[in-house]
Amino acid sequence: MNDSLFYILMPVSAFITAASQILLKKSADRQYQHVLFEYLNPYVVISYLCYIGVLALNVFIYTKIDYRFGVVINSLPVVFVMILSKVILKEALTRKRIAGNLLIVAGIICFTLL
Amino acid sequence: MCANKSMNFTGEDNGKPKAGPKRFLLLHFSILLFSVTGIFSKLAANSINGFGLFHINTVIFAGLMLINCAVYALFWQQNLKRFDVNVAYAHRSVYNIWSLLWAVLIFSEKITIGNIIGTIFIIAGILVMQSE
Repeated sequence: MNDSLFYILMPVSAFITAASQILLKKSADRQYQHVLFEYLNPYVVISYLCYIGVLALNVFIYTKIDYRFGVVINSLPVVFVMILSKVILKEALTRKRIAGNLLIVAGIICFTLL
Repeated sequence: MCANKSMNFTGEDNGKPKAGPKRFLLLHFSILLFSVTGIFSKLAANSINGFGLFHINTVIFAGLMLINCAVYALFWQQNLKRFDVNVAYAHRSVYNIWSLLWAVLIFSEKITIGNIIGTIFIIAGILVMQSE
């Protein structure tokens, strides 16, 4: 299998991670009658199923790439979270938040290419 | 709508209790736990490469990865109750420092200048996000 596929899978993993965070946040913003339902509701269950899928995907990715690329795998979701939290949660998208995310993207490019 | 979702400098949602030092400690303890999940992921991957998917080492490392992740998830969900998802997730990028440290100390990987510059940029990005 072409090793470049494993690098392409990193943003895929990051996007699924970001989406699962949005689901968790939607769950956390709700009021529940019992603490158990904070953990056992559709948002949380689907989110953690995504998480398990991401864990398996990351193990698959790590079979071909160095552990240090975990930096990319775990920084890229921040960018996806910003986009998804704006679109889905209607959270504020400030200039500083955009600038911060641009720096993160620049950092990921430096990390990967240099 | 946007005003209702704005944050103060401590990063918690408006209308929620202020996140004190204990909450930030809990947040960063969760992040440290998360970095351990990455270690088990890589160990499982190395085991797959060396021994195969169904070898006992692979199963053990994958199991430890899942258990560790489950514990982390319990902490993380409590964090999300106190912090805006953007802010909580930005803090999680401290994981990058742990990741580079473990890469050198545990997996004897070579860290390039680009890796260090890239990590500095990423952390700078986090600080910019936190400064609002």
